[in-house]
Amino acid sequence: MADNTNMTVKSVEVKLESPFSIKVRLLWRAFKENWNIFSKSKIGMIGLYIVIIFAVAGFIVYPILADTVWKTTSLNAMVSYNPVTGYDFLQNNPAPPSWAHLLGTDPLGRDVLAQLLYSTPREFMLGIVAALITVVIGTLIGTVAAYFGGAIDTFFMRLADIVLLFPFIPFLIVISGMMQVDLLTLALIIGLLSGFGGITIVLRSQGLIIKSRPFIESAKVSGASDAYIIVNHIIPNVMPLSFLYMMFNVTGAIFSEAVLSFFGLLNIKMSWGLMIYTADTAGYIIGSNIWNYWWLWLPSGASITLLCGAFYFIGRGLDEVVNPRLRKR
Amino acid sequence: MPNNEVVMKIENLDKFFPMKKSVFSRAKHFLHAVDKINFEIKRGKVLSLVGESGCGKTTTGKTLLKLYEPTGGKINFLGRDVTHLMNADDKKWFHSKTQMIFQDPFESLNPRKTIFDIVSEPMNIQNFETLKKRELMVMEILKRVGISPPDAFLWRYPHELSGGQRQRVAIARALVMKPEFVVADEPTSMLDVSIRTQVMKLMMELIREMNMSFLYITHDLAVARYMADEISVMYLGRMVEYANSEELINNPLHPYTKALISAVPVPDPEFKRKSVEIKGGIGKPIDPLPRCRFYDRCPFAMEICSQKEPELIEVGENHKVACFLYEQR
Amino acid sequence: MKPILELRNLKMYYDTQAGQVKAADDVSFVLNEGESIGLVGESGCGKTSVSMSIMKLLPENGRIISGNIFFDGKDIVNFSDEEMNKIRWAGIAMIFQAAMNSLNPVYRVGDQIVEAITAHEPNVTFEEARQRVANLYKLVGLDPERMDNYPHEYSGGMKQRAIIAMSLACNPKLIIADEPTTALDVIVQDTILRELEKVQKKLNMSMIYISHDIAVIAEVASRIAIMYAGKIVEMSDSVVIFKRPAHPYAIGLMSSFPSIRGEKKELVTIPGEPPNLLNAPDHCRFAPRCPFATDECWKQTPSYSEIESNHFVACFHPQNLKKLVNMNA
Repeated sequence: MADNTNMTVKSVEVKLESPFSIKVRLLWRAFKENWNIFSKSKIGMIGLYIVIIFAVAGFIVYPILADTVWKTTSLNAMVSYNPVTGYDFLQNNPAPPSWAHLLGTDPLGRDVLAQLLYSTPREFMLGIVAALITVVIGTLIGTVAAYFGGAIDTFFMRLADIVLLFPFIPFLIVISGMMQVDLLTLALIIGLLSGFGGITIVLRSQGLIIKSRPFIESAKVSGASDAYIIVNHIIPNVMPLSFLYMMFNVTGAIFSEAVLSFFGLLNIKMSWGLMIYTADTAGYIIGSNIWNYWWLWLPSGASITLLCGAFYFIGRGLDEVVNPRLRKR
Repeated sequence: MPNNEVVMKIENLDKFFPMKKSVFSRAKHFLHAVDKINFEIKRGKVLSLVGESGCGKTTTGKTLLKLYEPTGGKINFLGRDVTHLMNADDKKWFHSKTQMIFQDPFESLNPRKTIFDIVSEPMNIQNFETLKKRELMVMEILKRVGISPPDAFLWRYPHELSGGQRQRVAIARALVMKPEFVVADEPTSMLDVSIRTQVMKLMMELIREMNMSFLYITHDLAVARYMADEISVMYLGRMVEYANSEELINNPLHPYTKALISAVPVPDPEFKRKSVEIKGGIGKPIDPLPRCRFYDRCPFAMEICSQKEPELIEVGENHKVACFLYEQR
Repeated sequence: MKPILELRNLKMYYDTQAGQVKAADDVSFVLNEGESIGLVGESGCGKTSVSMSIMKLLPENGRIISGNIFFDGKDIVNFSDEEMNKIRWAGIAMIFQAAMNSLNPVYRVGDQIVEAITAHEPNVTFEEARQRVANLYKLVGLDPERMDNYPHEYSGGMKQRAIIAMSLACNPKLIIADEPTTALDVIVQDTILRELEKVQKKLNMSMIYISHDIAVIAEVASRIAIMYAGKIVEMSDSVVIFKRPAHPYAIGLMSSFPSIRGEKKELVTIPGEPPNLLNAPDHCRFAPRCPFATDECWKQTPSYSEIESNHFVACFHPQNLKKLVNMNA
């Protein structure tokens, strides 16, 4: 307490000058505190490492390789070879891993490693965009339904029930038949569908808890409007949970994409699911062929599992930050 | 300022809660939480509402501050009818002059806001003065409630403060805009004994300093006696007795008030209290019959008590009681 | 009179990440057969830790560092869980804070008590146990016909009576009541207190009554120990303590309660807040809040002195009530 009294005089001016920078400092401090909790969760850290490895591979390694090794690769002087789309005439495709193709080539003569790396940023994009849309919609609807209750609440909750019971994959199959579904459209559809679904129910119940706490009434007594209360009091308090669900939704989106690509329903150039689809339609994932041509499906399959798992693990780690009860003493 | 000016006056205030099963069904039963309550509070005076849990004292306080829409009756604040606030200007005027202090200092402060945000929120909502002026006012009120030095606390979060400090912050928040009328809902019942006395004394000082009118809600008659000029005892939504606090403590008339006073433990081992004579437990005022609500438990119940409801009648100077025992006189 | 329980220099510490919490430090007292002692103190003063040590129901990070607990002549500090199980219920029974919520909602109340009996006394038949429960119900003022009701059919006061009946089920020699009436309304509290007092006298049991409310303690306990920050600071017969408190904290505590008897008095406040017991200091723990503290108080912990027969105070400068006015200065 002694040093507090000493700083009274001089820090009054400091405070009055820039409350903004203090806010930034507070945010940074909160981040550090939460990071301390998160970093103690092994499962969360494993997830984070895996995600970082994929991110580095997709966003840094691929552009470098594409600019150097794969750019000038020419089979003969005439034809330049694009490892993602081109056909390597020098091999019997699909070819097993070699120095020229570290993870071999697929039936269409394309480099498997290059396809894998090329797809990585797109998988990230899909997962994060879909999850963001989900969380924004879910948070808004969940808090609004919780706060106003009554008919609004009933409407959105019944809608959520319908969306939850909705046959998700068949619907996407129908949609992809009706229109050209590219990656961004897919992210939008997945985001919208899961935004109106299960996440709103979870965030609404959290919102109901927050709504009943006295600081809400305290704001009302001061004359706060409904919008003010939702934005300033309810949303900041459900945010941690929203963020947590965002991680789980990334997993869901990447998974859905893989399934749809595997059925060949998407209009996209390349993805991990599409790689398996290519191998499958060419008849290499049948019977004993599976293990003879492992490089056709194992790298992409493992990537899907790893990245989905990693986001899920991060979610589990964040769960310990959000729910203090889960923390080990 | 004229000192006998009536600040808050309510006439026949009702608040019924419908007991509904779902949004679509119409309520058949009503909980009469507040039933025809009348009182007025003059400037600088403290009225205490006393009663057991479920007697409607908190509902009365919240209805006065428009947290609940009154079912019937009139609320008059500073000479203006505020029963139903319709336009934005009236709302702004009313909410900038009334405030509430809550029971639980752990719950009434938003855990995600800093002390500065919490205390300045009423001014932010009302768009009161300039930012710089607000900062000075926050510092001033924090210092006044004993949070000192204030700038050492401005950027802390509620969980970093002790229970007593939190309740001081809650008081600072309520009083920062110098309201004319404050409802305090058991503000000291969650605090430790030694802190409780500090906070009670602080509130007494502030009431005198700012010449505020207070509605002090408590279950503890001893606290009411210390804090209030007048005490009103409530039972199942009805006001059963009303008098100056010394008069009510020393000369209780209603059988329920008598029971309530004799049930309070006395910090004197040599004093032997008379035991409470009333039987049974407190019920719920759902569709109450037109008879005295204390009838089932009253040791003096007469035939007339089961036939109609007693009205508050004046039996002495500023002493009113709702009981047929005193009606003949 | 034969001592039933004796605590000798009991030290109970919690290990936390931040350091050691000295929840009970050198706590000693003797409780005779048929006697009731009241432990008073604010939250976190260690009164519940003492009772948990006696029951040996310590959380994982809490341990008894040193000292002895003699129950019925035997030191139970080093008793195994199995040996303790024989003592719990049959020797020492405990009524917990908010115990009424500990009744299992899906079993009949009577059956829960019958089960408690048959679990501890295997040779009692079901019929005998039911008969005993019926007698216990009469003893605590419950209708034995209510035995076959479920907890939700009981009111709060009735549940608390049932809990008291349950704690008496195996004829314990000692009952520890930890704030058994804190959550109850004042009239219900009054009837429960009387019931408890009656039963204790009738069965000649010993009782430790724990509360923050000195008024309640004054009514039920013949002897009082005042705890502050993990230590008993003053102990004597209740009449003596209320007439001639000597420790400055005890004096403050006695005079900080508003009373509904006698003249309305100015309340005395104890400045400051109760200390954190984390890494508690070696000097007198009340020194930072004590208006009478001298250098001596900041250097060492005061030992007990017997200022009159059977009146123990741990203070270098025992005071009397007359000096109390100075405390507010």
